[in-house]
Order: sequence, then C-alpha cells, then structure tokens
Amino acid sequence: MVALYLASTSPARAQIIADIGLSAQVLNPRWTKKLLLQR
Amino acid sequence: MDEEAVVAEMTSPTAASIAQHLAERKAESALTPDVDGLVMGGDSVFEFDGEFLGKPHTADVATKRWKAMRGRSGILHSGLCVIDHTGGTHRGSLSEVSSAEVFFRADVTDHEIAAYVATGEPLSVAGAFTLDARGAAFIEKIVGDSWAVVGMSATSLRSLITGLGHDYTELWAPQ
Repeated sequence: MVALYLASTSPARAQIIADIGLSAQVLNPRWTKKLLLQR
Repeated sequence: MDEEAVVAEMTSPTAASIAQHLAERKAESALTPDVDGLVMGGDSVFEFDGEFLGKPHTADVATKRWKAMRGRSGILHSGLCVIDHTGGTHRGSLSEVSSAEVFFRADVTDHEIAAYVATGEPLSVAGAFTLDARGAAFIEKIVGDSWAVVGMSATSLRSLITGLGHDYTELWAPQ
C-alpha cells in the first residue's frame, strides 16, 4: 500500500483526509507563516 | 521560504494561481529522501473585492472583513498538489485548483460578527470564515466545489492521485 503524506500544518486539512477515509502522516512544510497576500 | 516571498516571484499572479503555486511549494518543501509515498500540499486563497485574502490573524481584521463581506460574495480558491515520491524518488507531480463562490447572508448583525470573531474561529482560516463550523450559519449558499471552501477538494485529490497512476481506492484506510 502506498503511504500518504500531508505537507500541512492545517488541522482542517488533516481532518478532511480522515473524513474522506484516508490516512496520512503529517509532515511540516518548511514554511514560515505570514499574514498573506494583500495585494 | 515564506509565502510573501514566493508570491512576489510570480508574474501576474491571480488568486487561483497563487493557491496552486503555494500548494506546490508546500508539498515540495516537505520532501526528504526518507519520504516514501504520495505527498500532498494544499493552500487556500479567498478573492474578494479585487483582493487576495489569506488568514486575518487579528480580531480587528476579521471584523472589518465580515462587515464588508455580509450581503456579498467572494471566491475561495483551493490549490492542491500531489507529488509521487514513492521509493524516495521524485517520480512526478500534478496540481490543480478548485474554486467556489461563497455568498454571505446580508442579515448578519454586528453583534453576531463580534461574537463570531470572539470565538477565534475566523482568525486562522483563509477569508475569515468556515463552512464546517460556526461560520456555516452565516453563509447563504455555495456555488462550485464545496470541498474547496473547506480547504481541500476530495474530487481533485482523487483526480491527481489517479493521474499519477495510482489506484485511489487502495489508499482508503482499513475500516
């Protein structure tokens, strides 16, 4: 079976993965959180 | 790597292209040689009034956004990227964006906005609203892929995994 990984710090996305019947290991993206995109 | 820097590198970014690009970069940034499998990355950007909005982070910003959004609509774009890294090798990747237009009720009161913001729920989500929690009561309707609003399209995920040559149903967790 192929393993699934979720590159996200979002609990919501992890919950979606569980809700749709999948199981994924969460990886922390090397990512700096910043206030986004007001352009 | 930070999101502002990544977006600044893009030429003529749109809300959809930003969501897709950030999803790709997030998935790529998590790759290490010991990762053996399919790596998913996601990102959401809310497009409202010509602006591309992420998380409000503060109560003041969330309150202002809600007062501007009530009675109007915006488009939530969710990018999703899947990288096939089976065997610890980059074998390919696919990504796509799903979108939905979100219509907010016009009768949301200042009191309700203040109470909603005080819960903290809208501060950490793109667009300052949720469809799957308290914010659901303030949303009139959704047109498009409702999964995009929650933050990750299940339909897109199946499409990308299948496109990379894997059987989606084999990934279901044992019951």
